[in-house]
Amino acid sequence: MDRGVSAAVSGLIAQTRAMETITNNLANINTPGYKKDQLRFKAVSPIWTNTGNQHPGDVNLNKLPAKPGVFLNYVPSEQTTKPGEASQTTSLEPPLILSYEQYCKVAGTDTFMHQGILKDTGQPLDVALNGKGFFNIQTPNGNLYTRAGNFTRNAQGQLVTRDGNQVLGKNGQPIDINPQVAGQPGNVHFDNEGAVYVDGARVADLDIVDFKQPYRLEKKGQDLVAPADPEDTPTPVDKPDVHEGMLEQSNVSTVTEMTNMIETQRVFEAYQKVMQSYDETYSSVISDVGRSVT
Amino acid sequence: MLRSLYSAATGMEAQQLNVDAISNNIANVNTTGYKRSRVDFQDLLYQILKEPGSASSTDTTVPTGIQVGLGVRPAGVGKNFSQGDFQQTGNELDMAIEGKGFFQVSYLGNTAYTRASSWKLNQNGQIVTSDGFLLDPPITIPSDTVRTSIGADGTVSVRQGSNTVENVVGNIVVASFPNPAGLIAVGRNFYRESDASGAVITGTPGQDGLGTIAQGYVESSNVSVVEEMVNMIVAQRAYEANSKAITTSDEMLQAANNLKR
Repeated sequence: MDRGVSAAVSGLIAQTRAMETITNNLANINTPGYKKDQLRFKAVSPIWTNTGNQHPGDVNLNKLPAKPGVFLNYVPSEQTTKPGEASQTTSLEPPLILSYEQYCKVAGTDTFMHQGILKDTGQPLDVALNGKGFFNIQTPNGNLYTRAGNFTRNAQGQLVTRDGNQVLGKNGQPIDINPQVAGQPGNVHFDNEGAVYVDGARVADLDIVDFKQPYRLEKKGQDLVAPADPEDTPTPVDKPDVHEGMLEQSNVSTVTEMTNMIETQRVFEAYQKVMQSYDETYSSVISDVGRSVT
Repeated sequence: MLRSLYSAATGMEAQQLNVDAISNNIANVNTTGYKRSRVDFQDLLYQILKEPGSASSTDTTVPTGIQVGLGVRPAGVGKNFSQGDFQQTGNELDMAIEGKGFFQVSYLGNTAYTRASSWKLNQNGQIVTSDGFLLDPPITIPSDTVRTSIGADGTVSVRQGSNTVENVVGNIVVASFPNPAGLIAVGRNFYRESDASGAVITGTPGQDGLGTIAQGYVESSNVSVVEEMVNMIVAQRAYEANSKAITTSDEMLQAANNLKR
């Protein structure tokens, strides 16, 4: 198979992944606290040489000559040592770089952590974070973190997410928002720094934490994230900016996503054209080469 | 097959539910005591193609992995219990709650809660909803009543026949919940208690933060047409964007099929 075809296939696969990511962003355009994802691509250069050695994988291009067809300016050598003899060094034939076309590979998913718009909802248990931080949530799979503050209350009177996972306070305990005095209505109020008041009495502080590398987070679904590096332990945010009765909207921009979608589709089609050209070339090679001219 | 086809389908379904909720809000724009609903969404699972933090060489790790999300799902539909506007009707039995709280109604053997404010009398002179469900605790207005007055604290008093003094015939009790957004809407403007709403707290209107009774007023729906229209635009455009994602995925698959002619 021609190497150009493999390069085009790598492009097709990469664009497919990109399309999947764009679609997920669009599907979550109304998800509170959702942060947009974008794929990052990288070029991978398998080196093909006349020595028959193939070195697929990442290479440091700085160490290689600028153009294919140029001899490498160093001579690799092979040391052979037999027992009882002095070591011998044999020079090898310098390899000739035939080509190093670049393949496209998905390097990683970047999550764009920029602030989403705060929308006034008027719901007393909606909380939005402006700026840094995540709410600390206790789940059956350990502590996870979220920016989605559309909380509610469970049967025990604890502050929970829409899935019933407890929102944790600074003391590491779930937040009890039951009325403190029997017969009181149980009005919940969050102040600007995340303190929780029930009927005017301070009952807890929201545990709002951040990570050293907030871009290195693994999305777990249900608006929850976990640090990719288990050693990146959450640290409390010094002065969180908390807004009650508001929700942070998703930071997905329809215009950007539609533009990216058009680009992805057209690039995909370009690779398709490349493959079709190869196909036509092969086809004519098979049918025409060797045919006697009459 | 492209994951994006299915992700976009979840997006379209979610926006459909969003439009359903918005339409129901708009349909109830003139329903007294109606409270608007909101759909909450959250992202679905992620498929991890490469773990973040996996080794890229012996002493380096990749800073971010490759994770492809699989779409969106509705997490819940919540009610917004902000105050609706008051409309003066002059009817003696119309009463709105100014502030927090619900009227209690005996509904099919249980207690239901409502903010609906237009009350009637049944054949026995008891105060009932427009559908004939009894106010709880029941209050009977004598048949020879000339005038009924309802105080801000829920005291119902009547002036009978040629009497010059008013007699108290009952007290309206107002119920409140720690999290009214967690109540279950059962139709007819009624709500039922749930785990999420917390246990009911009853009291005298005007005390412990409960609202007061305003006689001769109805509370109109708290739906804001402008806001719902804006939400509808957002939902429709999001729906369209997701449908475009399906079209694009389809065209990409078509292009893939055309690789071989």
